[in-house]
Amino acid sequence: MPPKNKKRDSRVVAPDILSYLPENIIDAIVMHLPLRDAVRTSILSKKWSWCCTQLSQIKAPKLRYFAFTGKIIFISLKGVPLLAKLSLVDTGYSEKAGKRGITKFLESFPALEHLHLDYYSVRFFAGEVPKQLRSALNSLKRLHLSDISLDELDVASCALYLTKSSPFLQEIEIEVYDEWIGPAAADVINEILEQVEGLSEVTSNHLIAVKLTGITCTDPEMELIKLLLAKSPMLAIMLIKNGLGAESPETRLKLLAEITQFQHASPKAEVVYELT
Amino acid sequence: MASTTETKQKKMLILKSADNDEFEIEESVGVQSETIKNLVEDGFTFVPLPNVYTKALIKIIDYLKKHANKTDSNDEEIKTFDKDFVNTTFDDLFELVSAANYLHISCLMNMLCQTIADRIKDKSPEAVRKIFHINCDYTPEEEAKIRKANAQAFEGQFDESLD
Repeated sequence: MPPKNKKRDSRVVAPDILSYLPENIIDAIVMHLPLRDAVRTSILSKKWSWCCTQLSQIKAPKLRYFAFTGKIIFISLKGVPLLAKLSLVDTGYSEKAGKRGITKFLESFPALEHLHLDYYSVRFFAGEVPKQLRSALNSLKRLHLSDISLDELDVASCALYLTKSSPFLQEIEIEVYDEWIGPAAADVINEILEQVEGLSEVTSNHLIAVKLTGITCTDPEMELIKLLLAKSPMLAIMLIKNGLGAESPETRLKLLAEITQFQHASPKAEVVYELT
Repeated sequence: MASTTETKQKKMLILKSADNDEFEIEESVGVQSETIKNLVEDGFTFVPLPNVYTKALIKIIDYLKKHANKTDSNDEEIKTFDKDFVNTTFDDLFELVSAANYLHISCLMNMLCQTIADRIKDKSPEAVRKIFHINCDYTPEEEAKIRKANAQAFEGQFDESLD
């Protein structure tokens, strides 16, 4: 008897069960896996790798807190109406800049109170940063951006857009990664400055605390500090921790001294410098 | 007997498997499958299922019958039934999941995908490939690159067993 018939008679599942299982079944199985195991399936074959990029739409109607370090291209948070704290650190930075628009991202989290994004995740969402505000993070109280660069147009615009979209923000922490290869070109700096100046449209009525670390007193940083002081009537404390930067310590001190001359909207605002 | 008259009044359906076996079931049992429900709504009482083989169909009819009689009191019984239902080989699970997918029985689909996921989750990629009969089409270089890029996911010991 030819082997083909034998196989059919005993009803053995076809050896190439992979091409036999429809993609939606593979997707469904992968979605039932814990994330780490799901990521591991990308190595099975090219077809699975493709499926993995469509991975893990997280629907969790009661989810309150979500912290993720990994390739954020693999996850999509939708249907998380109660999510209050979100932390994303992206390690899949290679070619994924601007993969998703920031506005779409913001719309997914109506209840978000604390948001932490690192440089690569900001960059990931820096796709289309609209000039005008579209949606607001009305619940956001704390915004924390780590390892950020204010010398790159897309990242800086996205970071500023987040700030502008959060009218009830009480606390901002920006950690500038101060070992970026070199300062940006003059025209980029000018464009970033324009973006920073956009902050003057909004008054941060609820902002109480600002923490800025790795500050090297670049023009965008100085402008940001100036505007935050000028537009935050409730500000109690601004902590500035300097970074290494290219300038000599003297120049840096001079620049920091300039900050003391900035106008404060809040009479009780205290500016604290921490020099390294 | 009362039950005989009841049976006579019940609407029945005939399901025909891919290997031409026919099964008579109550309509109320069959319509848990969206695919069957749509056909019933269009007036069909004879339902050919060219993608579902007899072996899987027998098990699925069993499942549908059990779940059609779900009440508050037989919760435990159904749980035990479900547990036994998925206690089978991977190949059987794949056949069942394909059938559940074709028949659009979402609770069964969920249960089977969850079972498969639970059973492969700690396994090595090599074991998962064997289980799914996957021929790896990556070059060793490509594979090394993916491992490197997702290093965290590949750390630690994995289960090499195939059951």
